[in-house]
Amino acid sequence: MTGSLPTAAAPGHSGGRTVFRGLSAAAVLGLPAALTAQAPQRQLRPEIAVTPVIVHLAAGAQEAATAIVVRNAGAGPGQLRFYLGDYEQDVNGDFRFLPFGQGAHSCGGRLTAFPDGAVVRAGERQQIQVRLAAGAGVCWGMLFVETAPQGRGMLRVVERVGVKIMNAPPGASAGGEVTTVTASRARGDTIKVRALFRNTGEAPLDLRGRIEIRDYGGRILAQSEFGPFGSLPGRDRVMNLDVVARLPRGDYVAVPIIDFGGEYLAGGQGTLRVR
Amino acid sequence: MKRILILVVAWLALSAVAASAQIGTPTAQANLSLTIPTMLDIAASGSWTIPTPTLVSDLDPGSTLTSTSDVTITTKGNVNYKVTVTAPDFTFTPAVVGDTYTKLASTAAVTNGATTVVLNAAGSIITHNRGANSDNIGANVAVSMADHPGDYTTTVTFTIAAQ
Repeated sequence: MTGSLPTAAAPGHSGGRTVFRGLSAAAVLGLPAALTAQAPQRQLRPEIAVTPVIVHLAAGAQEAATAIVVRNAGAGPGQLRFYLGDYEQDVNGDFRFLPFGQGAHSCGGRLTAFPDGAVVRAGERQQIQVRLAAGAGVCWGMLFVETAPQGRGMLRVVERVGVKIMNAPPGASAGGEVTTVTASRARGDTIKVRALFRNTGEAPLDLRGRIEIRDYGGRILAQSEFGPFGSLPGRDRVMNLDVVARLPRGDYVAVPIIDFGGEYLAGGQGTLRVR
Repeated sequence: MKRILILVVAWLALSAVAASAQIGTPTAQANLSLTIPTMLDIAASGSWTIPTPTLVSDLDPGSTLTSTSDVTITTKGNVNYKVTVTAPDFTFTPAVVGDTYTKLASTAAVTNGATTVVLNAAGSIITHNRGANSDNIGANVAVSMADHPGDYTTTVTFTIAAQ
């Protein structure tokens, strides 16, 4: 391994004199020393496998608890850290991570995870106990399972698995609707469908379903299953879906049918013209 | 008498066969249930090698140091997932004692060739449907004469989570 350039001007004391060790040529030249170089190194690394990664709890008057299992599927030991945080998802499903307790719907103060870390050797498992105290209201957060920083040098790498933990107390409503559907033909026989779902209920949802391509007579010509996609209350969620269908010229409709766990299915349709 | 006894035995035997035929072969039923939980898996291999600037002109405005090697992110999942990349600002160890300086994470970016994410805020670098995937991620860091001499490090976190 080639290490980074010597730490420039790291002061030390020797015999009462201040000395500077390893002053690099770059530093002498006034350049940012050790913006750093590091040769690739081969070392046994952990591989984190976590299950489940989507957890729905129903704590209300009663507390709720679950267990998350972490397995090291890699060849090297993993020094892992377990901790809680908050998150938001935008309309495209991209995440924004927040410190625990800072999310608008944080489970902070109620949600705990134990232990807070472990050394998991290759092939071993570790269980994490997650507990949500009784209390009112919908909340959500994320349990992170994180490796120690890997490598040395300017840019180090950490791998992390985020477990979505969502709580909806008994009686929280699950509702939603498909507000927009657009469809277009991409390269080859792929049909690109964009469906926008609006979560109008109180509960965080997992959206599953199928997309159908129909002719104007209602005949299903192709279909594809999708999901789950996370949907937070009061938010819109776009799902970009692909369906493979060899269609002759003509007019068709794309029909997403979404099971969000409520008492009805949400659906919509968008027109598709193949020229 | 002997004939009557034979007839009775024969009748009993036939009755037993008939009863057996009516009952049929004994069977048992059991339910088979299976739960497959949601699963995600991530591993990183390799490391980024950022070349050290050796000439003052390496720090000209608009200069960028590009990694000469990639980090490979291997992911698996039975749900659709995204990998988000985040990093804090660089930790600075000055070459001149007492010097202080903040190099923002936004001066660095990672890319998979199609998508580039600047490291000042969470951004999705990888989006996949369920399955196993491997993505090579390169990195680059913008440098300038304004960067003070010293060592710079930051930690780039790849977070995999269900969509």
